[in-house]
Amino acid sequence: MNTENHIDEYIRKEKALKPAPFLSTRVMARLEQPEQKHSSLWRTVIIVTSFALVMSTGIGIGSLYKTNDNNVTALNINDNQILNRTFINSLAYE
Amino acid sequence: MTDSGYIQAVCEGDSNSFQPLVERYQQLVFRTAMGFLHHQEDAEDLTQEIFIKAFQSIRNYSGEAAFSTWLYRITVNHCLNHLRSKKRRELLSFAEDIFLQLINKADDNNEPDKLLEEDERDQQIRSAIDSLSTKQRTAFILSKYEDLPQKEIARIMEISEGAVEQHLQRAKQKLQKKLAHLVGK
Repeated sequence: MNTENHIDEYIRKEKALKPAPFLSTRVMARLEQPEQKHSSLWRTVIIVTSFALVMSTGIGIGSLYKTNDNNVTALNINDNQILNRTFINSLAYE
Repeated sequence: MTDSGYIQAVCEGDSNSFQPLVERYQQLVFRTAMGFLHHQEDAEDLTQEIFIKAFQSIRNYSGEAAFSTWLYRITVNHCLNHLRSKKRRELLSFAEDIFLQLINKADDNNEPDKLLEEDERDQQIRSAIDSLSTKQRTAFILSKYEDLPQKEIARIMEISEGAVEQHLQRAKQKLQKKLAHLVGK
């Protein structure tokens, strides 16, 4: 079987398919429904805007939580108290 | 009643007169949609949308070309727009088709291996047709699925007959090249 025959056979199978019955009835039923105008672009804009609003609201609420504790703890460590560096240095020169 | 009669009635407000036109041309639209989509349910959905679009645009039909020509143009444009904007469920549809065919053909004496081979071949043919350029594909589908003469295809695509012939030749060459490995199977 050559290539063209394979293609023709495939097309023959697809051509043999029929649409569902009462298709015309379904089309007419849809035509009788009130036209629902919706813009997918506006829907996208609304969704993105809502998302941005929610995000910024969340960040805003989060930033309101501030502590007024200005205490700063600092450690002053005197190495000489920990370690007798004079003794060690004198040992190094011996 | 002729197409013109029904169209006139629809333009005058009698929407019920559109139904005979749907019944008359539904197979034409469905078959063309199948050529582009290769999926029965998608083709049915698109067929409905195409007729709704045709109904909404019927006042734009000038009557210069045959109603079928005008409808073919809407069908082709709608199919191409559909393919551009929506993702095709090729893998899922392919797996589903194989599964359904295995179930439906369980009592046919066909071996499962042979079925899979046939489905794989069909998938390759589908992919090869889908790989054609827009114009080649359109000309090919109108020629092979609708058995339209080149003159009519030229009217639908609004190009010359020579251009149609060229597109068909190139489509044929490209398909033969892509599917050469199927020879002898």
